[in-house]
Amino acid sequence: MSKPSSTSFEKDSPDISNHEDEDPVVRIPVWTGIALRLALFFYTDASSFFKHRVETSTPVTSWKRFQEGLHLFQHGLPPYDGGVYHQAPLLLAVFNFLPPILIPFLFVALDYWIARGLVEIASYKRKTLQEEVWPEPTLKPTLLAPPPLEEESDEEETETPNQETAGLNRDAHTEQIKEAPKGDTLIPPWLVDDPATLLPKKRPKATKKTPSQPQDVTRPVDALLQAEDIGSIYLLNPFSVMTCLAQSTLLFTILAVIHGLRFAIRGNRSLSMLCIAIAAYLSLYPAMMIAPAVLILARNSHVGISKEMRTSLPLFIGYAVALLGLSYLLIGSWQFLESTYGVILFVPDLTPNIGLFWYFFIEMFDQFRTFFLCVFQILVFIFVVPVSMVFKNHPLFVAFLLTAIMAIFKSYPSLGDTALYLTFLSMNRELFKYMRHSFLVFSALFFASVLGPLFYYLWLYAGSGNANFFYAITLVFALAQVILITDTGFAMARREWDRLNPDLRTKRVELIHR
Amino acid sequence: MTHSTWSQLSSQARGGPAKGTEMLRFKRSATAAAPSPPKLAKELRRIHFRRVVGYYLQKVISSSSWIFYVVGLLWLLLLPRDEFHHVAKVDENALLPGQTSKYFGDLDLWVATSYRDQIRTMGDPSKNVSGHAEFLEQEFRSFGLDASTQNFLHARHDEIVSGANSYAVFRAPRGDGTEAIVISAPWLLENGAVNAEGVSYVLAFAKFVTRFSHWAKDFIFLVTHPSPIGTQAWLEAYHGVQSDLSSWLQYDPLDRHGGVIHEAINLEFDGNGAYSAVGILVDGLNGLLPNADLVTTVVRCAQYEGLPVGIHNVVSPNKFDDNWSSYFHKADIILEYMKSQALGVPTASHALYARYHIEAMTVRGLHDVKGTQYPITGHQIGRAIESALRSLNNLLERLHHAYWFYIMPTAQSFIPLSVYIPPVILLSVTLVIESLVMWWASGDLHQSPPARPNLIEGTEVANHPADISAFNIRIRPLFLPVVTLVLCHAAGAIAFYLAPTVRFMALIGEVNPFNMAAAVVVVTATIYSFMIPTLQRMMEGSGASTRTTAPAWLILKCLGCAELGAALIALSTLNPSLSVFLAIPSVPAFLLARPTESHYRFLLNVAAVTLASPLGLLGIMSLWEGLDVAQGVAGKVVDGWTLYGAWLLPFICYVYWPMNMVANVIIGMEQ
Repeated sequence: MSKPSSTSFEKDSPDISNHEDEDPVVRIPVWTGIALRLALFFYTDASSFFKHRVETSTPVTSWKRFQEGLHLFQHGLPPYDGGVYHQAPLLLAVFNFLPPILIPFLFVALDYWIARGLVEIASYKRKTLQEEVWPEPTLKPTLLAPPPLEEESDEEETETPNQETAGLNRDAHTEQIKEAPKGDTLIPPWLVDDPATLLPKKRPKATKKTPSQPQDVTRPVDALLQAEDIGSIYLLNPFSVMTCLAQSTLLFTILAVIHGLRFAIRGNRSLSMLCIAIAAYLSLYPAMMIAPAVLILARNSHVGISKEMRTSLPLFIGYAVALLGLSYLLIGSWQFLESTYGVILFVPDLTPNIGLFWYFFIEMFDQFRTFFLCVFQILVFIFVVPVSMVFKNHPLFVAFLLTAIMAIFKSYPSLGDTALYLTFLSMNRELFKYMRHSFLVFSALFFASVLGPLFYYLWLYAGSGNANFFYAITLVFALAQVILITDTGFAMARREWDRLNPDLRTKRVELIHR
Repeated sequence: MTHSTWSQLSSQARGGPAKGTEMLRFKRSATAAAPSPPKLAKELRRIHFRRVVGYYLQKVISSSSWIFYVVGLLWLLLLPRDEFHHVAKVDENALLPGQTSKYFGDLDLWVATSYRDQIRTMGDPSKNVSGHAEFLEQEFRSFGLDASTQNFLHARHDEIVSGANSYAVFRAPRGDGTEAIVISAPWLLENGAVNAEGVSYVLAFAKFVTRFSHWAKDFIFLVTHPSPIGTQAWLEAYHGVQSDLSSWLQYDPLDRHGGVIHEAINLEFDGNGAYSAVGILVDGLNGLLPNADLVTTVVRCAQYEGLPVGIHNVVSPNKFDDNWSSYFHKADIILEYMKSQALGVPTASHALYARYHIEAMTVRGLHDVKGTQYPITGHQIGRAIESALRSLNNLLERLHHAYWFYIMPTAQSFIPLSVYIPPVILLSVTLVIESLVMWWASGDLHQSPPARPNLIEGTEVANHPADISAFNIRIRPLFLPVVTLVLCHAAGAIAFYLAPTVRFMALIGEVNPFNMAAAVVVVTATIYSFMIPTLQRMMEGSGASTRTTAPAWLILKCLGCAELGAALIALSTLNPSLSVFLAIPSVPAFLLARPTESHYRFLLNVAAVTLASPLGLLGIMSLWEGLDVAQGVAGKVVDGWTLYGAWLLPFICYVYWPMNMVANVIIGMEQ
């Protein structure tokens, strides 16, 4: 995982990673996050604490299990023979020659690179948000109240003109989209940099720049995304801090996923597919992230999605096969397939974790195990196609939904997955005002985060609880996340409807907006 | 939520392609109601109705979150009533308390009394630590047991105390040696008296058990000195923990081991004259309780031998004059019980076993208890202990049937979790509701009930009410509240790291702790109600309410209420008593906290928050029970953390106090 050399691609998209004029103050939280990690690594025993916690270390990402595998590997034994190590073989090659003192630094650096990648993704998001076209309503603001209709006209007659105008609107809207200049960095008036600038004094300035666009009161007012904030949010998220301290190898997967998207944004199909292939190679489920990467690539290169898919998918498969081949060369047998992907898919290790699998498959009678295993695994992958189809204009939103679905339904989830999709969520800030259950969701997540470790303690240490306590809390956790997904999905669909139906939007709110 | 449906409906009806089924239904009913007085369609009425109900529900909840608190309090006041008490039953059928014939006879009692006299003559062992250990080890050896002594060092404030635990293992004649029961006694009691009869009973039983072959579990006889820190050292060594060179406690590893310890009984009998009853102590470290079956078994066995059993030095009479005297009697015991559980510091040696998943309790002799007629004999005590041991000997597995969470109004009855938890949760749920209310208040600007959508003449289209939209949700500022929360938690962390130092300084007498407490109150109140809000205004501009932005204090209060509420609810699963004692003062303080113009209200808020702060609570305690008690409690809490790892101090410093500071900040913020 070397730091990607970005010089060759910056020419293509100069406005994405342009941070020269930014205030250095915005970097403070990022360095706070880094310093916090280093301080916790070297001045407390938080690291050894989180390495043992089931919330942060799963059988397929645990650092302790990795050490076991590494030990066997370094002594010339097959690393998978112990039955403890379930991680990808090439990770062994990464750590084989790394002096132990550098390992904490490596994990902190991983988090830093993840954050840089997220910042670049967020600045792409900011750009798409700025370029987003909100078609003007064809009706003038004075006509916002519905026009009086003739008394004698029957239903069909009243509807005909409306259908015509609706059609006209569609055309006008597509025209506007065509007219919208590419790469226009002009900030539209409904996107303002700071909530504070919503105060009236700055308003005329914004409107003066775009005199042709009258103030549309029906538009939602959004604070414009600050790309640097997203990196800070990731680095200061307690879940990601815990994952880093636990030295979970999940961080490699996250890094690969983030860079898959990052290179897709830069238009580099080959590197993007390589990164996604690495992520899929490390923990299988991120193969789903092909979908958002392809959507972004297709959008950047102005080709159809299916055509893009035809060029990208072979690349992905080629890279994946190459990685597996390299692993074979390293290990000398195909045994690793069973010990890594076999464990992820067939879930033989039922150590408790925050996911839904372990309790269910402990309770399961053996004759039903295969069936429910299929059901559970299909459930993870089944959302890729519909989600990508519905939100194909919002690839980053697809990335959020897929990472969230993975974090809930994968066989060995940990808090690192949660931290990843929460960061993607924080990029979609414009959706928050459309969400209906945000209080419920975040309260439930908070309660689950507090009660989960507590009930685990009551179950395993105090002896006064039992497994149902902990499982109930993981159910609450999963339920809250599911509600979050549906709620954000709804919010996105709702916002799109508002955006693409300007006339209907104005009719709905013909009275004054505050 | 409703307005989206409505907007789609109305707009589709107006101009959109008429495809949705909802739409069709709507149109049909609209055309049916076409004639002139415009009537709302059914769908529309339903939506409007839902919106109005939602509005009023929101309004009612917003103005009445305190009701949960009041209901919780009243419900708590009902707990001493007999209807809520479950008479103790033994749920584990294998226990069969009191069903065996007892063999503890005159000879064994004579052994015990002669040991008692011998121990008395040995005097105060603090000068000669190894003396008593040698004596005990020798005696244990003389019964043919595997005996040994563990030495340990313990740094206490400014001196190093050396101690020794003597123990002996009796191998079960009928068992495989995988399970064990501990019978322990501290050499010295908490009040400094020699535990002469307690230790003599341990010795007598060590001799007694060797005579019989019906024991299926190992017995470990343990005499600790000083206690309870000796128990800590012994238990850690027994479970294979190496003593850390930097820790307060250094101990040797153990030479002898038995099976896995399942139960432990700690004996405290000072031997000064006749006892009038035996008392039981159940609550362990952090308020963890032993399984109710153990308590019931010991109490039953004692009662079969005719011993009156008391809890918290009170023996409950079988009959009361009237309901009120019964109520107040039990309320007193419950209050004592909850106080002891809330502190969560070890009351006797049994408290430390809970950490290792061992059911343990203390049995002690009580003198001059009201309501008992006859002095009890050593014979009865011995037979009761034997009977309890025989019952525990029957067990095939760990105790797991009965309650783990209970409050004891008398020694013979329990208030189980299902009965006492609703009021405990209700108290803290008030804060969760309040946080929801703050969320609503910070979000939308609804001031009046939603207007009825008025139908436009001759069409099926209705005007959309002005005040319902996705866009009039104000922006919720998060930065300022989050920074405040982080600052307050950091302050709490500093208090936590300073606490042992403060305790040390108070102990060596350099600072009067109450001067210090007063200083801390003044400083924190000043900082948090004036300096932080001022700083915030300088840093971030105003946190005040604008047309588009909600005031920062609403968000801060929302987050603070959510955090404290969640913490108290989580705490109620571990230590309900502590949750109650912290919720009672802090919930009203948080409900009241808001920036205000009126001086009277401001003073009221500051007073409520200051009283609910940890130092305010100590102040109340010193008024109520005296300065010494409050000082002792503060010292115990700090020692509980540094010596035994009791969680009260970290909880107060990391969660409770920071939240109190947040309430203080809220009062000083801009409206």
